[in-house]
Amino acid sequence: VSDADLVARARLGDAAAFGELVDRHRAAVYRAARAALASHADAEDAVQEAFLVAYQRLASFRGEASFKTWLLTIAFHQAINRRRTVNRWWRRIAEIGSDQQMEDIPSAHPASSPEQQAVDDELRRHVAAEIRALKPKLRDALLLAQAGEYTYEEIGAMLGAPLGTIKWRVSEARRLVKERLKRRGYVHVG
Amino acid sequence: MWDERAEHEIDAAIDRVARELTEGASDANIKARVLARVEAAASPEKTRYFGWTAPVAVAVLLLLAFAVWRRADVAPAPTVTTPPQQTARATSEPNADHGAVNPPTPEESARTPRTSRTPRTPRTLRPPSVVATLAPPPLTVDPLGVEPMEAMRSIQLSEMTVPAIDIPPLPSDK
Repeated sequence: VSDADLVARARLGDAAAFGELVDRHRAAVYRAARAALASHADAEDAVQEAFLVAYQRLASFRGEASFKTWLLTIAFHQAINRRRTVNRWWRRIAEIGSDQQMEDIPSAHPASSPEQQAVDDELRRHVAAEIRALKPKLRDALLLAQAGEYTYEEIGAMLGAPLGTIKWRVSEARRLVKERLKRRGYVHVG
Repeated sequence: MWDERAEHEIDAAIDRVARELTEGASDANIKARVLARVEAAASPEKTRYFGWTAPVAVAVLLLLAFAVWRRADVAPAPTVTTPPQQTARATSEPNADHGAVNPPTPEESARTPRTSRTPRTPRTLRPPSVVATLAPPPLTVDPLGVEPMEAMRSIQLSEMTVPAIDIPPLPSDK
């Protein structure tokens, strides 16, 4: 069953059809929210809000873009709204929490030796810190591009920017992170 | 300078960390929670449907109240009727103060555009205004007890007789 069919059924009040859409896209929606929000709990709330808003606006979905793109755009806007609130009230706490959270993430590529493990962990921490230090526009583009879930068109729809702009932001974000790592002394990595 | 190996490792680290920053999965119960919220949002549909009528109703009531107040305020004050004689005299004998109509100066003519006089439509009856209800009750004056006068006798006048006047002829001119 295609998304369009499920949308048509959901519009008629079929909650199960909408539930199927939630199942299909919840991972992509979560990662989009997570790209904007450092906190897992905030991302969860944004995902719920996004699906609820999407359900309420199903009548306005005209199928010009795919349902996934439309849903991701809603989700990212919800996440951005939440991020503004978080930044306003909990900036310090969120930063501290996100730093701790990064340290808790197990390495996807365990090093062969304890020494190499320590080097990798330090590099990861520094890379994460530099990514977080980027301006939101660059950081969002980089995180969404590296999430592996979205096409550049979908990222453009989420960020409301043309394709060329998204590509430039991703490239610029990488360049800045590398430059700052260099200043940290990562000239001779490995 | 960055050597190629360092460049590659840094790129790989950025990719890996950026992916990790968005990793994770939403709660497995997300579907149930979303559907519960959808149900909860749909249940007060009637309330939302009729909810908009409340402010409209209040607005209509306010408009009605304003209209009634406005009509009561504009209602004509009790008019003073003038005796017909005075009115007739006023129209036939313009006095010097009000009746003398000077022709408008050119400036006045320019300020006040001339409008054709159209007969006014008669005013419809309106309910008594608030001011009218506050007016004191009308005075009641007892009729004066005046006895009717006796019938007047007609005055009898004797007929007048006028003697003829003899006029002598005028002397002829010579």
